[in-house]
Amino acid sequence: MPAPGTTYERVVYKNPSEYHYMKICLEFQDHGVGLNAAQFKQLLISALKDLFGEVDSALPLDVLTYEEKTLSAILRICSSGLVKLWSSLTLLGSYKGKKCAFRVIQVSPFLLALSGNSRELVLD
Amino acid sequence: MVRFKHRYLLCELVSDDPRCRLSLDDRVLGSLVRDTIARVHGAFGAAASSIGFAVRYLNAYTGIVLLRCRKEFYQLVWSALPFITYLENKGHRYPCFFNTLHVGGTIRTCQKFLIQYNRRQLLILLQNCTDEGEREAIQKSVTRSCLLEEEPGEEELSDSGGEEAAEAME
Repeated sequence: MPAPGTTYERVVYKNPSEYHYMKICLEFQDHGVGLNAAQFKQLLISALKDLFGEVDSALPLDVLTYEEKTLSAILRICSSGLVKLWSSLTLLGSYKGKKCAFRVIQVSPFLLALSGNSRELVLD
Repeated sequence: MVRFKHRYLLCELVSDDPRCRLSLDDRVLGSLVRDTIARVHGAFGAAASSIGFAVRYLNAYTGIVLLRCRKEFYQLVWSALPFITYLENKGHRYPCFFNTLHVGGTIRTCQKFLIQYNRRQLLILLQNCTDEGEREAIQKSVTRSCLLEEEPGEEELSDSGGEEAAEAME
């Protein structure tokens, strides 16, 4: 006997999240450079201003957490500004004359996803 | 088919100082607009808008300016115009602002709009003018503009132009 045809039901849940969360890390060429949280945010805004001007430097950008020792942070940006922020982070080359680079570790529309990163998983 | 499409922005330079309009130069204006776009939209905006950017027409007496830009980036140029607050020429700084009158796809549509706009402005000037000599001069130019309208045989427009002129003169 042929098996009865299965019926499929597809549920599409469209809930575009308003914000995107990025986990980034700032690397300097020479060590021993420290920034506090305000200077870090100022660096981000100046990167946006260089590439996209005064209008886009006022995008609602939040630094949710910042660690001064490792110079890593979690940022929140509205979804329409994600591409602009990421491209301006890519093109930022120096801070006060010292060469530096932003490493983007993780990007997700959900903050919970940033708590675990399968790339950092260490298998025993 | 396959061509570069442009947008032409028809703007009016409004200023308190009468010397501001006379010192308008197309290169000065072009560089002013480019600098403003670079300040407002950054390196990306400056590069994107400067590809097809040109000052196509400039009238120093009426302060009418026609800017051309690519269709993909005309909003960058348009949104940067309100950020222009002064015109600098030979060390003199004149406060002014740009009023965008019309955005058109071709120079011809902008020209058509400008003709209608100037006709309306003449009638407004006629109502507001105080000096008798000025009043006669403006009435003469109004009737001349209505006569020019009749020649191509567009009856509707010339009728309405004649009516408006008659009302204004009363």
